[in-house]
Amino acid sequence: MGKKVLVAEDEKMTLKAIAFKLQKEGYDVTTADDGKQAIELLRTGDFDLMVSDIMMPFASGLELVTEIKHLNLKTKTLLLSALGQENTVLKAFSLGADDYMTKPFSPNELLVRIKKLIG
Amino acid sequence: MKAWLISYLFNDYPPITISSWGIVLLLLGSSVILIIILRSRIIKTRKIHLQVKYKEDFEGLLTAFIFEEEEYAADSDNYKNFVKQLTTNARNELKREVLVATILLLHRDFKGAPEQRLVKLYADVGLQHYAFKVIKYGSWYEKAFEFTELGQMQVENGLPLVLEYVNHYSTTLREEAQFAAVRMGGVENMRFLQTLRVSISEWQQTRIMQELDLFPLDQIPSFYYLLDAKNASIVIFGLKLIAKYRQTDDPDKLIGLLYHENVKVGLCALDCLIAIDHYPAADELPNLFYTHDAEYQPTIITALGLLGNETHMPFLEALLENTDYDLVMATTKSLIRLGFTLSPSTGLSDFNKEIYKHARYELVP
Repeated sequence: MGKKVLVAEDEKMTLKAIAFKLQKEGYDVTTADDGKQAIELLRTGDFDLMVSDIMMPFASGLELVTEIKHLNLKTKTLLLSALGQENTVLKAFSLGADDYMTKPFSPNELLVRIKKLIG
Repeated sequence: MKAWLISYLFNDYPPITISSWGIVLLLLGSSVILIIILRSRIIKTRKIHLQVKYKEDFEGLLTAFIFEEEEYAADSDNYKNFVKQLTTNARNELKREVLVATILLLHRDFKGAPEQRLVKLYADVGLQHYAFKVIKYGSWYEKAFEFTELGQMQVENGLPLVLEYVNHYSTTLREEAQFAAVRMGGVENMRFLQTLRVSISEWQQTRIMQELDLFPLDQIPSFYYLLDAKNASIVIFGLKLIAKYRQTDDPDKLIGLLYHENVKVGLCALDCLIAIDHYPAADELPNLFYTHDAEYQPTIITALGLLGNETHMPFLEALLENTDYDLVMATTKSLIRLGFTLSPSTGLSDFNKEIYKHARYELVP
């Protein structure tokens, strides 16, 4: 059984593509297409990693990171965003995000970063 | 004529028949309108259902294609069959619309190998030819959309067609064409900017600059050629690019532009000289100072503080006797930058001393 990864992304096409790539690499992938669904999954599942977009309906990626810290989960977090502004990146890390990538991103680079975080 | 017609049609019939005919005509008319509305609703709903279905099909196919690199290697039969399948699909307008939208969406979010594979696929399926057709015969908004598409998919052979629109009277078309031309032709083909007749907006300049950020620094050419443009906004844009990339090919050309008839060009040239740290330009600034209105003089003095040296201090000190607050403040700051310090022997007025205090605080809080 591969490591459990939660992918949260409101753009369904991108969500499917990331899930496809990670499943192909042997990860056990669960998907959420909005922040609310992602929070519910985080509360019930035991994920090794969450890959999340920042801009999502109902709850942003930053809020998900806060929720993970609040729930005291050991889930690592990698945030994706079209926002490359310094303050967004700094805020993500100050909230406890483990890694950050700006869109457009290379799926191979995403994979390398995921491997570095959870193996 | 009208009265005769009414009399001919209805005079021989009792009023009840006329009313019945009226109702029948009304019902018939309403039925026709209802049928037209229902038909268009059915067509629209069917189109939406088909779009959803096609979208799901293409999403699956394209996701597999971009990530199954070995299975869809460029020379493989699998790839050729895939291209053939999509080419057939693309003949249907709705399928093509969804296919292009899906390719663009994937291309927007991914870079690296998937991005390159999508660009190649787009070209191999021949989707650019449909875009060319729309640019030739479509409405303005369809053309603008196609410019975006060709730009995103870097269809270099579409550049001549797009360049025909870079001076178009419609702002939207013109700006989309210019932006697409940069994306399609890359930095090497930005010479078209010299031919622009209409001013290029600040927003457009920012968009193009952001696009240039995607190119490796060693591919960025010298932008000094833009300084020869007749359009002042292009000269300003050229100066911004030269400043951004710290290009030092011909600083004398920048000094020459300080005296440009358009003051904005001159001030941008000044910013540019500061950005590339061209210190010899400082000797030109006292002359420049006297050719400009009071509104721009503080900017020139500020530049002198950044580019000058102690030999420029007497010129600046003489300006302290001025009564214009902005000018004296700029002069004081420049003097401080050049190493001026206030001592009991410095014979400054109380006004100057007060400004010195503020200037010092602003520079070294």
